[in-house]
Amino acid sequence: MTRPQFTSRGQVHLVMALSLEAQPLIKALKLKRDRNTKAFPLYMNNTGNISLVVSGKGATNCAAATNYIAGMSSDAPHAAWLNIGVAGHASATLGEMFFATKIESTYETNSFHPTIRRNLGLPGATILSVSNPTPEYPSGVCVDMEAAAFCQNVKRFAATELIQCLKIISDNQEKPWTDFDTKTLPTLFDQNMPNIATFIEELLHLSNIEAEQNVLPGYYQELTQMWKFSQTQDHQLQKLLRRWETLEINDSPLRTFDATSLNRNAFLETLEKHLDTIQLKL
Amino acid sequence: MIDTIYIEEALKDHPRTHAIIKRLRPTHIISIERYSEIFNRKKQNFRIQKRNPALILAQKNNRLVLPTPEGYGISTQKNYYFSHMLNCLYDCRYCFLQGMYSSAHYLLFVNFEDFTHEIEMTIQQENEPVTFFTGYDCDSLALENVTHFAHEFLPLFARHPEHLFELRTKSINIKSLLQTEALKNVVVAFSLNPNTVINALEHKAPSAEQRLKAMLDLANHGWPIGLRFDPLIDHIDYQKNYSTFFKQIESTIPEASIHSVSIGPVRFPAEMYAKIAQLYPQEKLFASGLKKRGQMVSYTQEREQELTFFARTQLGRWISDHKFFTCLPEAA
Repeated sequence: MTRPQFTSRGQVHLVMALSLEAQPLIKALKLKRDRNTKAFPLYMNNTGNISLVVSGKGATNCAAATNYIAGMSSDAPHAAWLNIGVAGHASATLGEMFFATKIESTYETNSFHPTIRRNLGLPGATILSVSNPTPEYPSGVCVDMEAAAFCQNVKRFAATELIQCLKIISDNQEKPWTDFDTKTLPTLFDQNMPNIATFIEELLHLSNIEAEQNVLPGYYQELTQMWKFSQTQDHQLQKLLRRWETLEINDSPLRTFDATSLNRNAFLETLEKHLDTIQLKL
Repeated sequence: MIDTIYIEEALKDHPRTHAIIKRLRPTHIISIERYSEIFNRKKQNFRIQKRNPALILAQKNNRLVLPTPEGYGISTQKNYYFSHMLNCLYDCRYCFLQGMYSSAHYLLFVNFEDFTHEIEMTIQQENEPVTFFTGYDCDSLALENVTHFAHEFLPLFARHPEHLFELRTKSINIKSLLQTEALKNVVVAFSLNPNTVINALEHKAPSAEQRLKAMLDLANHGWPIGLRFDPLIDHIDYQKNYSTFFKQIESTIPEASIHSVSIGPVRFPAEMYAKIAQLYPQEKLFASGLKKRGQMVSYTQEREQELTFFARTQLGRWISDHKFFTCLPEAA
């Protein structure tokens, strides 16, 4: 199989329950184990923008792993999150992959609705997360053990639109989970790899758009090295420099106003006054 | 166009729900208890949602008809508005809706009959002609192909010829109006700007020429036309661009077809402005010329007066004085 090539530079965190599920992705995405991380097995690609954590089975493990990863990467609020795993379904074919349109659980009252992305050719389904393996296969839903805990935790630190779940059907009424051989897990993931890669690319793309919106404006580093700004002034400086950049003023504000003859307050005031005189060019 | 529809459980058998599903043939239909499960939740990102909004079919139970904010109106003392839908197909950078909700999904209230009832009740309580505005929280016609809103409400408007109704739009979706005999008490009011502004700030909206063509077709059919230069956008060459555009309108639309003209420079409630500017930090509109004045963010008073005076003078050369109204929410 050809390895997926990603063109977007955003950030995505993959959360998976089992090592056997994760192996095909680790191989396809060329992820390497981060040996400094002990609490959960964590894998990263060489550019550091795709991470994969193996949480262990069930809601508690999944919640702990997501919180752990969130804590480690709090400097990337634009990161997207994807839970990939297996699920049971009353009638769906084994190996079929669904993306979550709604996530409910037997232990949470609130349901979660991932924002539906453009039609990527995958079928959507409601996921019902349960606390323990069950012989029941409710009609029309995917049954898993992690999705609800994943979403309810991740939504505390990511925008709803950057949280998604993919589920591959591992068992159904005809072939229940009690007959399931975990050795077949890698095959289930391998055969869905092109769609998984497309989904990850879409999330990286969205994450990248978000990251670019919040990138520090030009000249910020230079100015903060020159003067020490209070938090309020720093905020004001970023806003003014962003205006400067947006209005496509080519010169550096440091040269335009001879910053060496001004103090930081006078500089901010001069910068603002100057920007206020500029008429919008459409 | 819309690939996902969320439907409140109680509306799954509503005839309007069935009709909309038939028209749209969405890829995903998802059942919800109440629209608040999806719409305007915490931690939603308007900017991402706007890339691919879903349609939510819901029921609105109260506050169906409301008085307009101070400063808005055309000709009558009392003014009301009602919103059968929240959010808009277009993506205009100056629109207050960007700061109003954290969701960009289209929220359509399908209980049109309840709106009709409340409008009738409001009319009964009034002793004088009033105006009802639509298109305050959405574009009145942009999703007409899906909602059939105008088509379904025109009979109500026709029953009350002494009251005025405004459909506010940028859309060229006028088929339902052209298929109906024109109503003299229904103003089809077009939000207008020159193409320079449209191209920069009114994303996904029809061009000036397309809007003019729709206005002309409606005028020829007998519908009263509203011209809404609200907001006016200050920019380099604004005089040249607006002046050329005004001449284009003059040469296209007969003065007799024009019911009213309103003019208002861009203004945002300060709190809403902060949210919108944060959503689009690299937007030119927010980088130039807007200042906080009291509770509003706007151009300086002098600039506002200059813009308004310019537009008023240019248009006043061929449009009667009594047709002009100014839309200006309170600023300091």
